[in-house]
Amino acid sequence: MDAIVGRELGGAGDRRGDGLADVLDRAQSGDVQAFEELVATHERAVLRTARALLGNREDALDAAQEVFLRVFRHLGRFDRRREFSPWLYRVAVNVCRDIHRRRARIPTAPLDALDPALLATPGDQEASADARERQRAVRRALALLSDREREAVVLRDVEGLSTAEVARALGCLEVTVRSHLSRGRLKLQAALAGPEGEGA
Amino acid sequence: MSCPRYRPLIALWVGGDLAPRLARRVKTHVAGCAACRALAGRLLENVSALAALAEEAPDSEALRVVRHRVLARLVTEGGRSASARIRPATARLALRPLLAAALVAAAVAAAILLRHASPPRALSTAAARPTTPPAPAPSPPTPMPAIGAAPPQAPGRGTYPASPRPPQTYRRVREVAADQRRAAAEPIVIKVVTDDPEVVIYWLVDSKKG
Repeated sequence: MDAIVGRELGGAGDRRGDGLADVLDRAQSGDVQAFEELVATHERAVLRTARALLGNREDALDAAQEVFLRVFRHLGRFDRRREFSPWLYRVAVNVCRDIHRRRARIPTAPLDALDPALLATPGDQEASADARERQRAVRRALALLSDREREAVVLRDVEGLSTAEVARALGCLEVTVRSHLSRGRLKLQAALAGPEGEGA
Repeated sequence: MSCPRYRPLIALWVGGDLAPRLARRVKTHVAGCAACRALAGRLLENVSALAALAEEAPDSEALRVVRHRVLARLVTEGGRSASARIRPATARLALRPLLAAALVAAAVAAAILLRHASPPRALSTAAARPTTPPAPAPSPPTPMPAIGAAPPQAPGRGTYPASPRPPQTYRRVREVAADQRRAAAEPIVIKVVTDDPEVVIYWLVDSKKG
């Protein structure tokens, strides 16, 4: 079941088989059991996206819950001619924006205002070979991006959606997505490289 | 120091987000520029690190919490919106066997009543008419029971036509007694014969109302 979530959902489209299409059909007709299957299929991707966008587990749990409740309430309006995953990610992004606005826990800063010492601690430098430590550093660095940059980077690089799918999920043009991606990746690079790598 | 003109392009190139023609141009530049090659290497590492976030082991407890919360909310909201959407599909399915059972029960009850009750005296059919000629003189109106009387020798059976029935599943025979037509107060009796000889259905129609 988890095999079709996450990066596998994105990329070249939904890649959903008849099974997911059938589940969607039944869920749209109000079948709660089918909706449970839908939740089970996508909860991992939604939770992961929410965590990457919001930066902490508790907010991500709240967001994931709200995402699925909104999906349930609005599933009847979902146009079946479109792919499900960009729509789901769009709901997730909107929920995360709402939560982010409410709580304003994640600081954002322009590239030139980053404090490299915040991220490039000696521990981070030594852990360049340590994947887990690097992931923690990446998560912290994500928090320094603007909302739009973070959304573009998370959906494209973490969730593996295509640029077109990211554009649909964010409700903007592909060229805008590329702009956010480029700036976001460069900001991440500057944050993770530390003072000596900033000028690279 | 990487080339400022190429930095935004390299950031897209490492993620495969450039058009092929532009990607070839960036690739050519990176191949000849050490600083831009170093930048591209670090950006590529970061993109890989971001992708690795998706490979992290799932937080099973978090998944369980989310599912539990969602389903709990659906249940609590059920009285308002959720079950309102759910109800029609399931209710229709649930009513079908109930409706079928009710129809069968009604049919069985009607059959039992018809077999054990007295058929109406005024009832006549094509086959029964010779045995029940119309009364020569108007007689005091007799109350018409809902279910008519049958010949004493075989209650419920004697009113069947003597000839073989056509092969239809149901055959409706409408026979109105002449004296009933004259007596406006008397209801019209309609006899419905099924292909089951044990089951005969009578309808009483008030002639005043047509």
